[in-house]
Amino acid sequence: MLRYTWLICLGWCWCSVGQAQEVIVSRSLAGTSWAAALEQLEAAEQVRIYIDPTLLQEKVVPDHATPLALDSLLQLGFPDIPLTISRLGQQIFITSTPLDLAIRQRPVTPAYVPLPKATASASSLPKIKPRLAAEEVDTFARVIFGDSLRLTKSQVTLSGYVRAETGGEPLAGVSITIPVLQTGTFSDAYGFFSLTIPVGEHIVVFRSVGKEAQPRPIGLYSNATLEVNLRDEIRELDEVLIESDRNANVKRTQMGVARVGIETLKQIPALMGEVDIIKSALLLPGVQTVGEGAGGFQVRGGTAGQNLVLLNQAPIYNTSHLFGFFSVFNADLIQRFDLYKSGVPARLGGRVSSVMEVQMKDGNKQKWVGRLGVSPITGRFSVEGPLVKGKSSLVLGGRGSFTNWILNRLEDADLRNSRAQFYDLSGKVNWEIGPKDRIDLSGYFSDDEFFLNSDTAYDYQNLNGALNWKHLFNNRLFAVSSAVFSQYVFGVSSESNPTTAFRIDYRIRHHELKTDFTFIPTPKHQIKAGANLIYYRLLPGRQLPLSDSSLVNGVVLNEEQAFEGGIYLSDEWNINNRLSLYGGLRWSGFGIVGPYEARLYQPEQPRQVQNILDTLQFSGLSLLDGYGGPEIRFSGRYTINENSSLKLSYNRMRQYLHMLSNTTAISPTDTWKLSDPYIRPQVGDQVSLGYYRDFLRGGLETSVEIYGKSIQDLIEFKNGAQLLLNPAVETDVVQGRGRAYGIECLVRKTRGRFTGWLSYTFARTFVQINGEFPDEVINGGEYFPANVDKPHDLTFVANYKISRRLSFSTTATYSTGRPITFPVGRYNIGNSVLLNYSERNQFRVPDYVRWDFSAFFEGNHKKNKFLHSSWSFSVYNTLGRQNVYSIYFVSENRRLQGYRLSIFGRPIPTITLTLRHS
Amino acid sequence: MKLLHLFLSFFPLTKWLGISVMMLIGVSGCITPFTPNTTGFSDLLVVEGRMRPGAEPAVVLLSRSFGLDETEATPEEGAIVRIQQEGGPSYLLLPTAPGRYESNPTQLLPQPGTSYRLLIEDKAGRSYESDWQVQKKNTPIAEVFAEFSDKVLGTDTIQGMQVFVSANDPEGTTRYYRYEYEENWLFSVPYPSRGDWNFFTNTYTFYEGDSIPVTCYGFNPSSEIILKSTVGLSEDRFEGHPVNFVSVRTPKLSRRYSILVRQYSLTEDIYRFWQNAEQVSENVGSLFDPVPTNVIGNITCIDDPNQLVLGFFSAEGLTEKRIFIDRRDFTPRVQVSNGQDGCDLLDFATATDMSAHVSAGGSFVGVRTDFFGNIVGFTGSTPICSDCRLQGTLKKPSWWVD
Repeated sequence: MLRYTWLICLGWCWCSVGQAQEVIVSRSLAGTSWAAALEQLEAAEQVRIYIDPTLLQEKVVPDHATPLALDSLLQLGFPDIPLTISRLGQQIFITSTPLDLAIRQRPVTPAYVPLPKATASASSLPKIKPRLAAEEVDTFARVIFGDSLRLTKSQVTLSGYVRAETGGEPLAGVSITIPVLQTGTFSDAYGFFSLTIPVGEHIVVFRSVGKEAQPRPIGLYSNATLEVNLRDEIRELDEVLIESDRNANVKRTQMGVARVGIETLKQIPALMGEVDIIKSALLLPGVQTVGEGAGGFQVRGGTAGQNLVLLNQAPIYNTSHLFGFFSVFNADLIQRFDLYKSGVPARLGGRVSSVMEVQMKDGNKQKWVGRLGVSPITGRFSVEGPLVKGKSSLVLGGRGSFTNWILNRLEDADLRNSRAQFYDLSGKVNWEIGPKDRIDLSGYFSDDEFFLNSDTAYDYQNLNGALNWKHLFNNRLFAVSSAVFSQYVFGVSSESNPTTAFRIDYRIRHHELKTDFTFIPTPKHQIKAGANLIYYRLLPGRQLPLSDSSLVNGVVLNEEQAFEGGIYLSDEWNINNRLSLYGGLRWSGFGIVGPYEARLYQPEQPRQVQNILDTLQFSGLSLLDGYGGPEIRFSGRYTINENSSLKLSYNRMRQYLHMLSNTTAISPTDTWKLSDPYIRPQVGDQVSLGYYRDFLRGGLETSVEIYGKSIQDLIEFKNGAQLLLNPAVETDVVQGRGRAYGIECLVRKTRGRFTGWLSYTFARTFVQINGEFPDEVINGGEYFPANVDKPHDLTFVANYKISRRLSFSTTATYSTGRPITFPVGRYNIGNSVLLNYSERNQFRVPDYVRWDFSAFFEGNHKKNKFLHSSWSFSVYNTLGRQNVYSIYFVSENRRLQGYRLSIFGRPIPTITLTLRHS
Repeated sequence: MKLLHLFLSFFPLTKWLGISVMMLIGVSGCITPFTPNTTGFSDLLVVEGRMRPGAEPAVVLLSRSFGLDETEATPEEGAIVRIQQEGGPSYLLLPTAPGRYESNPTQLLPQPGTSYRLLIEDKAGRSYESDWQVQKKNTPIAEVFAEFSDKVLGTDTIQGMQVFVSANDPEGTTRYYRYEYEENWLFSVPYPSRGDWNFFTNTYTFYEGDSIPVTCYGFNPSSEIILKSTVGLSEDRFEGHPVNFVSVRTPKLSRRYSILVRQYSLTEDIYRFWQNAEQVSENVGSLFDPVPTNVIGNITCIDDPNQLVLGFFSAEGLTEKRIFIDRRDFTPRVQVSNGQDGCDLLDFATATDMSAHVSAGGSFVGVRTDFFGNIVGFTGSTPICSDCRLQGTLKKPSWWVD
């Protein structure tokens, strides 16, 4: 395969390589082996000579005249190979092609490695014996920074940017590792990385999902900047990596973090051909859903409202499209996501269960590329290209459902009279203002509207934007600052009856400023510090008459405002090769600001509307009621040996903004509520311990993680709670305790034609609601299984690549059925038969089993083809099993009939076509 | 776009797209009947206490809850039941039937605006009490009316009469309404049986003239929970709240139909009880329905506050209004079922044949005679086509107006 010439951008310390003064062979070396001869020469001339040892073979130096220039001697010995001599200070490179052009050079053997003077101890001597296959290494030129004979320090910093070769867009999440040193880092959202390592010869490996890995031989003798361009691997699809870093499983300090690249996502069989971030995340251990097709996700026993979902730093308050069957992210514009189940870094906070950071990709900086896709539910497009070539680019995409068009054509009148549609738009612009400043601006909008053959219509919209600025102070200190805006609104309206026509509105606005500094003083420390401040503005509910003849009274609940802020400091400390620690301290605080109405309840009485004594008005911006406290984040890693490690983490999270939802699944009328004098913040603590072991040189990763978790003041609801348009919603909310524990086992194969993983999770999660008064007690105040308590979960994901153009994927999942509340008796009131329910969550729906399958076919890749096409064929629920979503009971003619509802009770085949123009 | 069209024409997409979307919305055939095993759960005291202004006694019904596989509730006998007036006396309710306790209406005269509560001591000696209830007044029904309209049910559009109710309380103190109704209708069978056939003796006896089961009165009480609240409206009034839909496919509208609408004015507590009851019994199962919970009423067990007590004590108001709908009240072009669909008159030549038909579950209609009155055969049909008593009663309700 034809390889490109690697463009190497040189740092400030780069000394150019060129022809220099000649080396003269003053006495005859005839008859000695070339290797011995060069060694003698090294000693005599006080130089270091680098040459590909395979060139030398077993040859001996021929007879020659003395004195003779070295190049003449080489010509004599290798008449058929045009060898070039390049000299850099005291280093001499003998190569078969000129060194300042594309060089194909084998790495020097250990015998030729110059000893860095400052690193005298043998153990710290970097050995260039890469565990990478030789043929991988030989395509990259060795680059030298500084002068090995004029060293000023023993530790130097290598920093720079990683970009995509074809588009020039920065690549985030690229792993940069030095396998021999067992050290490494990841590039950030701007493609920037910084690594402080001992001087010497290193092989630095750059890896990213969907890109060819790049092992770069680097002679590092001073601080240096390196720009690396990674090449697309789209045509090969040979690796499905969930974690892009080889051995990262064992070596990262962090635990409980799952990173999934879009290339992986695209190969997981998708419902209706819609590549879906959240549905894919459900395949990871510890991530669950209450039901098939339900929106949102639950992490380690938390609730959907306890997850913070960030798209380019901006929170998304409703992640569901079309009742939750799809998530709001357009996969064409997503680069990857990170999901923190535990070990959440100190820079993130605000939810007790997890943080999911979704990263939108950058546009192609070199040329314009368009994409068009069709699935049975949506049509989608995206374009990306340079605004200023190499400096600035734009990516823009959208998708829309044609569900209304389909519904119109159905025979069923219920469906024909129903509407359900959505669309979303997203875009991102980035600029490289200078070598030290980069800015990107991203925006997102989504819209959902539906009504189901009734006169009540629902709609909701997400809107957000983020401006991020990265500034490099030097290659050890940089900062990322962001200004974020996010808004979520929903509406419920009814128009058919003019006297009762109404519209209900809800709105939450989130304004945030934040800054994060990263400082790498020595290779052993990475210090981060920063702060953020959020200003919330909520309209908790408003009902207005929709027509002049409507008798509906306007109800406008007072707007609520609050500030939430946090500051943090953290350090990741690599104590030695075996032990590394991460410690972070975050302090977060929250305060409501007026104007605000607080109800005063009768003391010693249940918090009920009839017990309201008075309503107090607070006005102005006086801080009314505040909460706050420290959040400790800690994780540590102990490396047992090269292939195994032990990790421990503890973290505390505080949540000041609560999702109010008394439905099992997330619904479009769920609201977000600020903490207030009556609703306290939720506080979550989690301890987890994990053992990680790699086999087959990191090709097979295994891990076992156990965790224990407790949540204080989690939100539950009184029976029959009215959450929307309730001016005193605290009368329907109760707070209790939650606890969860579990063990997650994972085996993952990351390389080769066959990739995938098998995970087993045992997890329990319980809730206790034991308030002071009878209406604040559920199940007698005892712990009961939470809605998401599914003890056993087994997931298998596999991808098999037949050829470069054809691959197959499959996923299979089994889980225990979720808990459910059943009626256990009936009673008569008047003519009606009512149901007496069991205690909360005393029964379970049947176990869940699903098998999906997909085949992915790439059209041919003739380079100049106008349109590149790819097809995917998938079958969701191949077994056609009628997995039970819920069990419910309906009284029919005074009899009680139970029903099981399955959402996808048969196989759903889908063909998806994607066209790409480039 | 051309490619897109090609793609669409190549696959019969639209067809299975439809199926997919149907499944997405959850109305396809993915709902299957299910009977859980929930035996062995304790039975609980059920209270249904009602009183209203006027001359009628307050009635409290006490029973025990029953299992899903049982059909009847056991009445709770031997309890001491009292109603206490706030700042006033207590009135004892006396058992009039098993589980039924009634007040003496000459003693207890519920006054709108006055607070009352229910006190119960069961035969095991445990005491229960209700929250205080402020007696509601009897707010008159403003109007009950019907309109001919279409109703969409699945793939079907059904024509029929939609019955509405309107209310108006100028004082604005009612606010919470609940409705019940009772339907009665006059209908006939196409082949009324003239007598009883005895298939042992192959003989028959004719009915008396007015007991031929040709025309009957059908009856059906409402079982659904119909609620309406004017909270949030500037006036305590609404027009045209749907109460019942009467399809033309049933014989209900074939001749004359009557509906009695009962309007209960409720306290907020009791309205909430019914609202929750409606939610858990009729709305559970779709994606966005709340987690089902017990409907908590306003009665607590004093001796054990954690003991669940089902039901309520309601100091409500009640008024009712009846309307009649005749076949001629709506356009004759609409075809109304007269119950004759699938009815056939069958001929039998001999009495033996007739007996065979009757013993197989058929019905005897009459005899066939020639010009001279000689019996030449017998006629039969199915019971539902020849005996209206199977779906109603011959007795005309006392209030019925022809």
